[in-house]
Amino acid sequence: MPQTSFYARFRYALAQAEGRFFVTLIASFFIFASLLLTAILLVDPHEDFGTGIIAPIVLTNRTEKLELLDALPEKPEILVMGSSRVFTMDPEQITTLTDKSAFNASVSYGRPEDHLAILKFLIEERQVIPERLVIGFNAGAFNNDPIDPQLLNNKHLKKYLADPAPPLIQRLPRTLKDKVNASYIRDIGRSIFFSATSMPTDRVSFFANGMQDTLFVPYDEAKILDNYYRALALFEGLNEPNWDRLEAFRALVRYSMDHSIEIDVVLMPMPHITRSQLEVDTNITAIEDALREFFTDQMPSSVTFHDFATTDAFGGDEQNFRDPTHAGIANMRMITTSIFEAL
Amino acid sequence: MIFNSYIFLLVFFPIAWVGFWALKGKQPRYIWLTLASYLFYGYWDWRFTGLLLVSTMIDFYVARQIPKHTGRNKKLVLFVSLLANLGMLAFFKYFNFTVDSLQSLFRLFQLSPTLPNLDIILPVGISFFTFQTMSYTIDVYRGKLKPTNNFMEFACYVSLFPQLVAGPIVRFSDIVDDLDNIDSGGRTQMFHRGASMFIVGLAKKVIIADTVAFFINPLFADTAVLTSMTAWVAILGYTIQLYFDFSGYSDMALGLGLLFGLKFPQNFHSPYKSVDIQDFWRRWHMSLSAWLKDYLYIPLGGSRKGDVRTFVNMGLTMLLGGLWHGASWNFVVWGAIHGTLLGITKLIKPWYDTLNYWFRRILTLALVMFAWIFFRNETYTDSVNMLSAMFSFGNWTMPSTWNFESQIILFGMMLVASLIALFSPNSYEITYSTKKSAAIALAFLLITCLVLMNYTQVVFLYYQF
Repeated sequence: MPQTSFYARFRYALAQAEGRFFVTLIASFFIFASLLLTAILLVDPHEDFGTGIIAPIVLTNRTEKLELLDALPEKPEILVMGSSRVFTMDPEQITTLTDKSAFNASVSYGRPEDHLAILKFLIEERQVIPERLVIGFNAGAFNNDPIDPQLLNNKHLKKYLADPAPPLIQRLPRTLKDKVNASYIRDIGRSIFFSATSMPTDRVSFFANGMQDTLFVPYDEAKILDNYYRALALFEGLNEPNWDRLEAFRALVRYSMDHSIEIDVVLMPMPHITRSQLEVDTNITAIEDALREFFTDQMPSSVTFHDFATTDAFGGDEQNFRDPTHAGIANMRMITTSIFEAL
Repeated sequence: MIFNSYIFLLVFFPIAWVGFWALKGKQPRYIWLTLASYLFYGYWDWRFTGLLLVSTMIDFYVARQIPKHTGRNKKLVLFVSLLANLGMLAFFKYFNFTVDSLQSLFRLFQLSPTLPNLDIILPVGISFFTFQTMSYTIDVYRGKLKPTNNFMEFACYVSLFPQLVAGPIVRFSDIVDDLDNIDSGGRTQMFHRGASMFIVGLAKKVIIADTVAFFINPLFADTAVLTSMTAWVAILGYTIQLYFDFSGYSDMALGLGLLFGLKFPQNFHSPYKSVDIQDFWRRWHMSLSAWLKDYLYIPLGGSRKGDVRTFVNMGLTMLLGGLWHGASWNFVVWGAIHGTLLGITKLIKPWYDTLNYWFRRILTLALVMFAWIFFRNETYTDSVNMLSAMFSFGNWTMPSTWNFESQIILFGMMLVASLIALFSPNSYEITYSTKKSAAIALAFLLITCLVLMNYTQVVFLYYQF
């Protein structure tokens, strides 16, 4: 056998059945990997990359909410912002209470950087300057999760990020590592299936005023306990509010002050069973205390803080929760009333 | 670094492998492989690479001194090696266990002396590499092996990353020919078998063992709430998990060895097909069983000194074998169970062998499974909880957290794994095809593993030993 060079040895190995097997194995591996990557990028079931050619399987309500805003007959004077915690805050009720037009611009996994980007977009590109923002959150909104890919990929909003979104090629390895697993592959299949048939009818949808179109969900303690892990995940590795997110909120306040916008910040409630377990498993108490101090002592007078962490604080119903972190419609109406009655 | 991690599969291994074959000559390859192995080991905690180096230097030097001496002096030289290796093992692995056990003993007699309890980190794989280096010096002492004069060859042998942290326990005599011929031609013939074994091992670990572990680990976490159903599922699942985890690791180690042109000894031979406990120990963790037999059981007298002494020797060997797995009393109990079963088997073997083949296989599997209860549960209370739940035959409902999809995955996986473990040829027996279709199937299996192992890069069970 020739022993002259690496290349010569490689050619010799290729002449053997074992060598051909080995080359086929490596080549097949790269072909399968390329096919998988192509499927991930073309289907993009969670809209992580902004490259999908079919509808994503997850809610893409940043785009959807901006489209609804554009379609409004009059510019909203009050904007509701936040995460899915405030999806069911009703702009119509706000209008009744204040006599001002309102819109619910809350988005899935909404964080301070989302609120700032949406507000900047509305003011700078749509000339919508609201008088008041109502921002609902729970302490987990100030966690260490990276900026949501849907914000990084949103063609309208990404330019309003404090730091420009890195190009896809830079984000790709990290996103693949963070997201691609068996469930993700299943979601690629589901995404293709739903686009070929139709999306499930129980999918989250929104009214024209941005409020979630939802039915009354009876209180189910077992369901809340089963889904407790979702609440727990919000606080994973969190000992104090994330500094970058607090900074993003400060930037939002500064920007709002420049445009004479008042802000109501609402610490949203959780069911007692979720809260008591979180107090055991996480640092929620310390995180909430730090946020209370932040929103009361470190904010200008244009920011009003409403501490509705427990149902007692707004006279709510302990049985009116849809899951471990989302208040039911009745509680949401009471929260809305409490905010605007105080004005 | 673990084999089922992206850093290993996509970065470390390709560089180590291509670099190895790109180099020519023995010494460059020894050095390259040794450096790669130290990097592999140091990735976990670089401070312990010093321990590996010290152990290597002591045994290399001691082994070269042994043939120069005779009689008592020769023994003394060997004693230096044993003292160094067992001393390291005793300090890092058993110091706190000994102190805790003494404290408990003193408390029993109403005494409460303050004994030192040190904050010692157990170096990964210490049980494996100390046993390897001890086998080297003992074999040299016994005249079975000529010590190598090449330090890099020996350093390469001690640190070989494919088997450094979780075996198999490779003796120098097993691979000395391969090491001596590390630069000779024709060794690429092993690539196809090596790659196939590695991927099969990875699949055993990622697809079967980790999937089953995902469901059963929570059951072991709180044995007080186990029902009959969950207790049986837990121990059946663990029986499967441990086998596929450890044998998967061994397959990967053997496969990696072949990819570097080194043939490591087989470590598993379908242990759940055993017909008695002796047979089981000829098939389970074979490199450890052989080590214990050659360096402990036989020196103790083996079976040459009558039935009682044989029984004692077996018991002692298994007790120490149990303790080798971890500094904890549950491993001692597990070793004692196996020692007792081995002794009983020896006594009744002529009669036992006349029993129905399938009865013997089922009985052996049941006994092994029963012993795993004490192996897996860290406390005696947990083991008792599990046993009482298993034999209460009270509650056969599924846990509420297992929906229909979970049940399909868990029981489907357990069924497939059982069929493989009980009836199919093992990964050492398989004739790996060189057809293109086999290569494509293995590539698909590899991609599947890479996807599945995201989020769940579970460390191998035997890393903790």
